[in-house]
Amino acid sequence: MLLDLGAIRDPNRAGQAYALTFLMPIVPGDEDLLRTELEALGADGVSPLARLARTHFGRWVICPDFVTDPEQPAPDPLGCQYLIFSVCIDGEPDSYLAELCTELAPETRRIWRHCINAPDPAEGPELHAYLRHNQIDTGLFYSAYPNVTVGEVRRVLHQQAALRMLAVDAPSLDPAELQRRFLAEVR
Amino acid sequence: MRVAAPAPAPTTATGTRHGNVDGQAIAITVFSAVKWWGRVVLPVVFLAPKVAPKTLTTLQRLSFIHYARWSLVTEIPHNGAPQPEVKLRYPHLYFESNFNGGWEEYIDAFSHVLTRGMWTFWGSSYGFPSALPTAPFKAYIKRNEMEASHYYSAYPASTTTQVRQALELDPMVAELRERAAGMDPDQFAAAFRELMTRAQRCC
Repeated sequence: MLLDLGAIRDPNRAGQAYALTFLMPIVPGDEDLLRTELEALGADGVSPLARLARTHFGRWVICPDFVTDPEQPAPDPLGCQYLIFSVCIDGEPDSYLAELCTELAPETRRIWRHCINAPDPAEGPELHAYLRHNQIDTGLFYSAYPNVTVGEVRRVLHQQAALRMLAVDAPSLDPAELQRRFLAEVR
Repeated sequence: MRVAAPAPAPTTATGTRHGNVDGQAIAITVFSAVKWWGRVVLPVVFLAPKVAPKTLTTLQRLSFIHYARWSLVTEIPHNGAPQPEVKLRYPHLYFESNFNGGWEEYIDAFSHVLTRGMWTFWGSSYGFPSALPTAPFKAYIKRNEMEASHYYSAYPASTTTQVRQALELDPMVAELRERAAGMDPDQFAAAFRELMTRAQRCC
């Protein structure tokens, strides 16, 4: 494995992958409304993040407060609840955030209106700037396949499944049909 | 008015809460308060795998992690009133992982395979009970873990191992595709059988 110069220069990066993490204060009293909004995302079976083709993984988490460990000399309260939004993406963060703030505007408006001093409406360049202001840098970002995009992952998984199916059918196919199906289906 | 966090939802068969699951993928999100010396040590720990990537070999042996990240939070971005100005007493370690399999198995494997590494990452956190035995460590993570309100995976049906195998298979298929058009059917059938033998562990 080679030295990852990109990750040294920018710790949010691993290969071509990028880690984005944001921590934003929730308007006091809006916590349950926000939770309801978030839990309703993807109620139709499709997460809005699926519309951003560069997203490998993403999550919204409500952090009620820091947990005080019994060993800890004193609590360290956050003062209000926080929204964590994090994604593992392909490529450059700014073009991704620009997409997020436009393509997902119907959802971003509903989510970030519950965050303190988020733009109203929460979309476009204003939301982009708000997110950047609340970004938390990553210390160490690990990826099992750092140089592979979402599109590539899906393509090779599809190819693997197609080959598996063809292997099952192969004993009953004549060589010409096997060749035709391989060229047509395994790509 | 502060609204109390709702009671935790029951765990699923994967050993974690419903919100942390999307198909095969499972999310872990954890904050832990860090002792003063963690502020010095953790940045070095984070830098080590970048200058000596072999240190990630052990992590790669945990073949069920897609992506993971650690961040040391030393300040909270301020957005103006009514957000309280937060001056943190301690740094806080943020950890998140995207993995597949069961929550219990994940922590077990993490603890057994990465015993020393776990101390490296969490040794400066208050209350870290050491990676082994696993029961106190699991209790520690549960205490500090937060449930996702929404979690997404772009390929929820696939495990990390499946992705890696599919990637390993790709050049073998590409090579056969390149040759296939110039082969007669019998030559192709023989090459296909040979591919299936070579690619057995990738399918």
